[in-house]
Amino acid sequence: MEKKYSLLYIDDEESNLRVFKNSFRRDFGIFLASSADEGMKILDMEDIDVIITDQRMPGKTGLELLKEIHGQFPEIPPHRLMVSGFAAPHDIETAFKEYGLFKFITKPWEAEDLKQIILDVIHKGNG
Amino acid sequence: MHQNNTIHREERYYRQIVDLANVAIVKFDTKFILNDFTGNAEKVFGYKKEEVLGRSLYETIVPHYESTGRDLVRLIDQLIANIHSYEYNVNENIRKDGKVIWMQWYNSELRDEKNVLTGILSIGVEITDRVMMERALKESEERFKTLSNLTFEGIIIHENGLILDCNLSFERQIGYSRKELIGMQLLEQLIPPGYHVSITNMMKNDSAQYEAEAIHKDGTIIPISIESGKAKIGDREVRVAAIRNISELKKTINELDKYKNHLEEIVVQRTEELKEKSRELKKQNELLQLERNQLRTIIDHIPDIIYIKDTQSRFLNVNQKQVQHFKKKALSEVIGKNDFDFYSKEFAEKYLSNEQEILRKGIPMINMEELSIDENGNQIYLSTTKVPLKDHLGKITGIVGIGRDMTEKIRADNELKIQKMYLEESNHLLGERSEKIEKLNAQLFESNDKLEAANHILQERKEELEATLEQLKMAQTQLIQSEKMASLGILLAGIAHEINNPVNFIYAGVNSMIKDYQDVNAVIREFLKLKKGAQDTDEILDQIAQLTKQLDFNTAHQAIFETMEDIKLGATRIKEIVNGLSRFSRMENEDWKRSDIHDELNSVLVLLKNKYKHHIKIERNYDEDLPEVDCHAGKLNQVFMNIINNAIDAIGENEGTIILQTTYRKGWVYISIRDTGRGIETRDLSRIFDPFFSTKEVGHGLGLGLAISYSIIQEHQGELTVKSSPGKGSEFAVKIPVKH
Repeated sequence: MEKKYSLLYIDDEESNLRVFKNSFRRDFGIFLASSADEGMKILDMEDIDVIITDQRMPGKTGLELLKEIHGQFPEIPPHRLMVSGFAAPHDIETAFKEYGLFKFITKPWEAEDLKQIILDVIHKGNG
Repeated sequence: MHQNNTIHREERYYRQIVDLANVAIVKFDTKFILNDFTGNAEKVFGYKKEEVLGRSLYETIVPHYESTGRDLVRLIDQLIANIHSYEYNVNENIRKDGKVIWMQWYNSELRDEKNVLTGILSIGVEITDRVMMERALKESEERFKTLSNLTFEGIIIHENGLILDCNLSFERQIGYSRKELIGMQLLEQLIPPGYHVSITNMMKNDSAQYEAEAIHKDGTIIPISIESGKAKIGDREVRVAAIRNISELKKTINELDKYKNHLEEIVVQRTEELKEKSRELKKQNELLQLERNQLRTIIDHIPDIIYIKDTQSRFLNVNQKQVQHFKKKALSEVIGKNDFDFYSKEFAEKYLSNEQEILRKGIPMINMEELSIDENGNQIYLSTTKVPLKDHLGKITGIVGIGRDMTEKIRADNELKIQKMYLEESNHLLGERSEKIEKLNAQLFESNDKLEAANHILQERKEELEATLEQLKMAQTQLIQSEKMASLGILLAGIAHEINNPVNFIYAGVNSMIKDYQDVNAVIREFLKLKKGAQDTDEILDQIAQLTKQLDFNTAHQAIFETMEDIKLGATRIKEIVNGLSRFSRMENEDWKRSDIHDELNSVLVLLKNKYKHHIKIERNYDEDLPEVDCHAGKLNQVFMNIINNAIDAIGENEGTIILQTTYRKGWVYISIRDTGRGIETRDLSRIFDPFFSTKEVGHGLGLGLAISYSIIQEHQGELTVKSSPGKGSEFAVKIPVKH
């Protein structure tokens, strides 16, 4: 059987989390977190292939989360994605350059496209 | 004896000849010693024979050097050596008195019987005069040549047209050389045919200058002026003509003509301009005259006596009333005279001393009661005001006086009080009038130009101000517009972000729901195959069980319900946002409508949700019984938007709270928006509603938000106030009447 890759999706909107899971549950293993800290806990416990996070969240923003991940797990290949309605260009640049961001996607997302991008990331990361 | 006589006779004869010949005879030997000195030698040289015989030539009659520098010693040496070259010789000699003379000598050798040279015999004629004349002539000739060649005029000497001579200038003028010219015919060869007649006439008399033309050797025509006169050279009657090339002159004359024409044009132009100016001035004068007449009419119709006197109290100008008062008919009968001509000495002296004091002190006399005589001789009381008249430099030049007959008033006791009041009133007016008259006078005496200039400047100022006002109005409109745009900007930014999420729920939700439904549908289809009592029921049930597991039926089924809820949530959110937007857009041409304040506040909060949701808590203390309010809902929205937005900005990145409270009391609705932000400094508080006042950095807002909000609340006949504690927070309070 083909390996089912695992995704971690972080967003403060419950509806977003639910819709994401329902969209991709057939294709990937889905882990959900409604805050950056919750996300970090999951990363510690589970084997995650791709991280997708919203930028604008209460407490830690997506950018801050990526910074922390990069700090803790620098050897992880760039399986990092970001999805958001808004971010300042400077922030995005920093994320790409320093925190290993692979791609920046805006909402609303197209399910098929996003699936392809995720697969892209995984294959690139695996060599 | 006979022979002796013959010799003596011959000697005497010889002597006679010699004497008659008027020559000097000199003999000298080879050593230049004189051994004979006869003929008129003594007369010529001034020496006696005895004085020179036995002496050297050079001691006596021959200078070593001539004045020309020729060495005479050498000459005579050569003469002795070779007589044939010097048989005839002219040289200078010297007299006893030192005077230098010229002699023409004939020399011959003297030899003895052995043919040895013993000396020289010289016979000389004095030619000093001749030499002098020759020199003078040569000099004069030189002078003449120099003069004639230096003159700029071409000079020719001709006889009936035949050129005898000319100067250098003429050669240059005409192109021919002197050699070529001598012998040429002036008219036929050098003057064009057109001028032959006039020049021929000229040649008959001494003339003034004629203008003519000459033909240069190269064929060009030269304009000339020619003047000639008679002369006699020897016996010949010749003509001397002076010729001048006037082509330069002609050119200059042409240019002068052109310039003269140009100047004439300019003069005509200027004259026109001056005429125009003088017409204008005339017009202005007429206007001034008109004004003067108007003023005159006014003054003449005032029933008080009004007069202007000079510093000697002579009348300069008066009104009709004054003329009548003096029982005269015309102004001219009054002007120039003084009070002594009209009043008794006693009165006139009093008036004079008053006036002198006023002139001296420069202090006006107001409403002084004076006794006077009216035109019928009756005693009257005058209330007089006399004011020093000043020119535009402030110097006192006379007195303006106004006098009112007060007799009636003083006599009538009953009317006294009323009249007094009236008098005070009229005094005031008089004071004003006299001031006005003084001013009018000053103006009248001022020049046209100043009035005109001031008017001109005022006109310009007025135009400038109007233009500036227009610009300011435009700028104001633009600024208000851009503030609206800014508000709109905040709004749109919020909306764009806000809308992304709910759209996502719906879009992604629908897509996922389709897949889920497909899975569920697959199972349902199997269920539908079931028939009561059919054979394959068990098979179908097995299939159903398998599909259910394979397709994860339960999850899919559950997911559909969840997704529907999310889609519904998303749609509702979008509806709220659009609603809030439409409220906001309803601002121009709004009517007064009844609105629920809570709805307005809530819709603003929806629009701003994205800005505050992460770190700011919203507390709502709404009065349940708050009635609807007459308002322009869109504009009120803008006010709430401004205030709440400011509150969010004041809180910044930190955690904070915004408390919205509404209350109703006695026909008024009170809305309070309190925040826990950084507050407003006391010094800024008084200016917080000023247009363009902002506590934010440059680029973050124009500072018009609160100013516009303030004016909107004013429109609603309400009040907008603010309280603040720097560091703790601010509270904005809106108060509006329920009924408009």
